[in-house]
Amino acid sequence: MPLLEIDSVGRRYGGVHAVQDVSFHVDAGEWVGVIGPNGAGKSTLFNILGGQVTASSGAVRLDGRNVSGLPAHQRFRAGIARSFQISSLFPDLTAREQLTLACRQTGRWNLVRGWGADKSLNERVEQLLDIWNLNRSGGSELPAEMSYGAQRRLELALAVSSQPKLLLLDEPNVGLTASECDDLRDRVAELGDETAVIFVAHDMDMVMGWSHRILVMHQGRLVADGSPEAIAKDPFVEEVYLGVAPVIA
Amino acid sequence: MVGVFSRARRVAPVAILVVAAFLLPFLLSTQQESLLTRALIFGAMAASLDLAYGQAGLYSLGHAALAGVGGYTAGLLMVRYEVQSFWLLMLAVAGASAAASMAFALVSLRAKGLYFILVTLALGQMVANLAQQWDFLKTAQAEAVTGIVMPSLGFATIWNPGTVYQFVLVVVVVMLFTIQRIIGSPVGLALRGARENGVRMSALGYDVWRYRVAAIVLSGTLCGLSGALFAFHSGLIAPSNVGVAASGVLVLMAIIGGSGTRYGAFVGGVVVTLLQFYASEWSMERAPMIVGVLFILTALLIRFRPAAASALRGLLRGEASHASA
Repeated sequence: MPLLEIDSVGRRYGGVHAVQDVSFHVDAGEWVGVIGPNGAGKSTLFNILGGQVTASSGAVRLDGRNVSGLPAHQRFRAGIARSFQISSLFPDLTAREQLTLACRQTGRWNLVRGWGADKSLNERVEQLLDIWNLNRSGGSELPAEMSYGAQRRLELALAVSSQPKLLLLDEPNVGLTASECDDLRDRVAELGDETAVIFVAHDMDMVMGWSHRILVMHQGRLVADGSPEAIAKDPFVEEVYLGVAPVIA
Repeated sequence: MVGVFSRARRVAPVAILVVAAFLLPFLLSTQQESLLTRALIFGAMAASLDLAYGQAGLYSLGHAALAGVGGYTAGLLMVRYEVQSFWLLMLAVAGASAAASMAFALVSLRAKGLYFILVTLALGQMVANLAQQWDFLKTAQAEAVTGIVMPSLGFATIWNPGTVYQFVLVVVVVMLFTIQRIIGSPVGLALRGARENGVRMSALGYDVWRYRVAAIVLSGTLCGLSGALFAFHSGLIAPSNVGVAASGVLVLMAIIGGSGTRYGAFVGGVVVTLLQFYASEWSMERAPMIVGVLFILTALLIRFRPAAASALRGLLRGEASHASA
């Protein structure tokens, strides 16, 4: 059974079909790149998977369980974590506080102990600050005091730190250097063989290098689904990326 | 061992301040004792409001109504049903305030942003109108519940302005300690997260709506307890104490003191109460204008001198990070 099944998913805004009749599946451990020109529906698809947007039609199943109606926080608990295209951080919380929020899986409703009193949680946060190179000033920096690259690393650290079954990365390479991008790949790979990754990117070298499979979206539809080699040779994909693809009826 | 010393170093100044405040009646006149008692109560009320307002970012304009639920519950139980025990009264006040806050949250949190503010304002006005219209909420031909006295603690207590002040100080310190624990707890951190970025909090597995309900219930319950203290001290509770104007003053206290900081709202509550009193001593008519000018100056400071404003906030926030450890 696939980890994720997307069955005829669509999302309409008034008369506009942002995503239309999209179906695919992702197996555990699979890395899937999603490409397409701007406005192709990639971010809407991510929002549907993450629960930020409800699908107008179709079903999303994780491990065979229909999660279509679940709000974002329950999707997360079901095992779906995500990063955002534009960093979605907490402006008035330090890096340490943000990672603590991301890591805290138990004792969330505790009103008695201090949020920093859990030793194992602190160790995990300390580890993340080191791994993601966010430990300048001991993790006490606010996002506004960080470089753009550090903000992006924090954004990704928040998504990866929960050790999800399915990780959604929306343009993860933006703002990262080539070596930071390689580090990111290693960090994600450390999640293990059971974690599936779906990512959106415009950098074709990255997409070709990271993906087991590539999905191509155009005008809200899934127009191609195949291996990197097959997609690289697909004439329609070439047309889509050159911007001369015909309008789909 | 180092941790114990570091904690002692942090706690010592607060402990010294509390002990000094406890001994103040030996230096103050009766009128000053009463004024300080009132200032402490409003400080606690503003700090309670700030749990929702500053920590969770829920800009409520109806919290005086929740304080009013506490005041009316205590007053009615005491005057109509002759319940005199402080402990029973506070238990009933906590229950009634929590229930009212829950209803308040369930209705107001259906709306967002400006609409949330308007719903809280409307709810506050409804409670004030109810207090004005419903005869059950009035005593002895008055427009208020009158005849409220200091309750019994279960042991011989001689109430005078000095002992009332000391008693209120102890209760307020316990309330502030509770608020500090909440702010420093995982729930407090999650409330700030929900204030900063609700979408991201949901994406991290937090049920933001529940946290916001919790913020209003905790804040409203503590406001209710402060409202009961107000009723005990004032001897009455009236519709004017629970209306929109009263809620506005609470918000003003929190903002002037530094909303979202650890002690700011409490300090704001104390300062504004003292200022209101001394301004009205000077000129009863001009007192609201003086408080209004202070509010405008605070707003302008935040707007045009953000560095100075954030330096002041930083003094209070610095302590916030300690309490998490």
